[in-house]
Amino acid sequence: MLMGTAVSLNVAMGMLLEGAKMTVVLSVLSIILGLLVGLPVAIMETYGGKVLRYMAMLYEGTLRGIPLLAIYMVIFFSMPLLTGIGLPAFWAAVIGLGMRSSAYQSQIFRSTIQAVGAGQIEAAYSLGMSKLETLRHIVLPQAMRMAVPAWMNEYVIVLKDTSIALAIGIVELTRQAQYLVSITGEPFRYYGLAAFLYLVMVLPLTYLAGALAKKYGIKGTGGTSNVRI
Amino acid sequence: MKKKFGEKTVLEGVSFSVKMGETKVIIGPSGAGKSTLLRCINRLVEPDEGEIIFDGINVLSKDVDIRKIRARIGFVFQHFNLFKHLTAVENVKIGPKVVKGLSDEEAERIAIKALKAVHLEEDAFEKYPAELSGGQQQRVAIARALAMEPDIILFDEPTSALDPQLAGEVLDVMRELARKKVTMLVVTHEIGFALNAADEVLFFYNGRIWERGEPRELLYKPKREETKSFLKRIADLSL
Amino acid sequence: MRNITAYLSVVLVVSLLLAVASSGCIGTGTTQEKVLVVGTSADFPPFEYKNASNGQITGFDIDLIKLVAKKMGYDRVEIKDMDFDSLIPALQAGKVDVVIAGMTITPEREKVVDFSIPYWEADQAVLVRKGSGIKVSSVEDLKGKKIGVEKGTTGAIYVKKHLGNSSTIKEYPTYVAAIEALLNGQVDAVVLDSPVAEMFSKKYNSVEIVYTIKTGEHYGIAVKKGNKKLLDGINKALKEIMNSPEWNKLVEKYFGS
Repeated sequence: MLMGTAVSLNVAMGMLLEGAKMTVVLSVLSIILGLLVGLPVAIMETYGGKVLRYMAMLYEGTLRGIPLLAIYMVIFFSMPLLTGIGLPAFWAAVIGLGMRSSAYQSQIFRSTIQAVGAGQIEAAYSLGMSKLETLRHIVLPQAMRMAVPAWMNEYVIVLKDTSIALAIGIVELTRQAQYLVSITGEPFRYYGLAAFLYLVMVLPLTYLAGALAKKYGIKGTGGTSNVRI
Repeated sequence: MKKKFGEKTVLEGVSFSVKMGETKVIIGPSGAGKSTLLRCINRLVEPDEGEIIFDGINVLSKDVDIRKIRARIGFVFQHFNLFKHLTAVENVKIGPKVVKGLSDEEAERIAIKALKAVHLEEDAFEKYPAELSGGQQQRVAIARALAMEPDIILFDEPTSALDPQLAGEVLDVMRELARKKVTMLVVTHEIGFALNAADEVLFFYNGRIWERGEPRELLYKPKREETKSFLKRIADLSL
Repeated sequence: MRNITAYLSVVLVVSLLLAVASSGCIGTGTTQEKVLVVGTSADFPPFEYKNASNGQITGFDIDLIKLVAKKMGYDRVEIKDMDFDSLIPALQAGKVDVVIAGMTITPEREKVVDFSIPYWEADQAVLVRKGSGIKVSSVEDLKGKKIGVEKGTTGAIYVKKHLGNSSTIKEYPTYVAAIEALLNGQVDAVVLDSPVAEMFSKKYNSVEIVYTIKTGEHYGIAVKKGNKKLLDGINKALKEIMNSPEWNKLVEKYFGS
């Protein structure tokens, strides 16, 4: 049942921008949580002993295998039933999206960590560096730089996936557009505007990725390739 | 310094020593266990049994902190293995800084001295490995080893990956080091270098020291058949 | 040094974002207030939607649940908007106390939640002018007539499907416009939601309901399975409201203008 109410562009943009703000806050917190968890998982997978490696791979595999919606459902709806501990929807969304992203980020970092040649690691050991010093001074600086394009790509995916948090009651850009469509009956206009805002959020990142690649790329190696979003 | 090995078929009981200030060259066909030997000395590869005595310390004993030993043993690789994200100076600085805990200024001073010792062109100091020629890269790698002021430097076929012309500039540096009485153990196919820089040459064959002696003695008048045919092959290749 | 600076700036950004985020999200005071937490899906006007001018979630269902809550002694209601499909899990997980979202009572849903008495029967009433002599005992009787509907409603969809070839169907942007067309004689009958039709037949003496097309769409308020105490309270309050003048005012507010 559509109401056909007219909404001024100012009001509509206000609603959409409010949604976009939530989209940005949610995605930034999630990508950072994903980094803080994903990087150690990647290190465990590449440097850990058998047990750690197995645990990390189990973690990564599980989270990559479950749809985000199901992760949300488990965190937001099932956990309170099982444990009696409930999280506010916002934090459930950050944790769900962040953990899912951590699995993908660990994959990114695992491959770039492995891309740092064994020869350089032997060279570092030969100087007398410990495993940890080698990781910190030799492996991670290179792995992180090589990861920039894929990481930016991952951020865009996280940004777009924030809309799935609607399932647990997060009102972000897509939801605000739905509100507008339902009261005005103009899907083309408002979903179009929302799509435009997503684009506005994503496009600068493409340039940022390029700039970062230029600034932090390993000179002369072409180590940071083009960014595909 | 004494070393004994026994590792499967790669090294079948090898024993020799290197004195301070000596340059020892190891030659031999590929697969003879030369690289493995070098890697065992600083335990990049763990030997199965035997002992390595370095300055009176048994490197293989459990209560030795291998990192402290490695800091005193330089290693120069066939493929340079420079740190790609660091400039030439930074590559040389990082050892003294991270391992020895020297200040940035002190490490910088040592690095520049080491780079000058290998005659790296000044305009290459701030360049990244990918921007340097192979010869420059290997000289930076030697400087990186020198900056740690090691008691010995191990060279693992340092010129095999280089064109003859670039190999020349690396060999010049190595000859200079030998003259300065830097202790070196060098695995190489460069017979010329062995002739005029080595105190002794070891011929490795089938994981053993097949023959050893003064450079001129061994290279001009080898006693065993395997040594002769190896030297002949090397000579044919270089002609 | 650069590593430490980078690390510190990350920490700073994270804590700032946490602060920004939490200021908007955690603020549930621990007063003794009695709050009814209501789940809805605010994209179904006029039952529940976002009022663009004040940003509030509003609608027929929202006003109704506020009335119910007030009658039951709650101090206020807290509205939680989410995806329609998440409403029942939210109820089961205890994230919300009740769900009101134009939710049709179905046997499948009744297996997992308990429903109140229907508060809205979306049966389609046939409204005609009094004394027009139009008699309807089945949908067939509307053939050849001019029928008015509100665009996009269940009624509009129904008549287009069943009478689209045989009758003239006129769509109007609102119910009121359709009723006005009926009063002016531009159409012979209007097909619309029963509760709305009842409201209009009381408001205008000149129109009457002559037939009801049963669609079986009855909306109910859902509570967690087995929460009998809450359900009884809701049913009691609903009955009181539906039998009071408040009900007609509510229907008129959302369907009559």
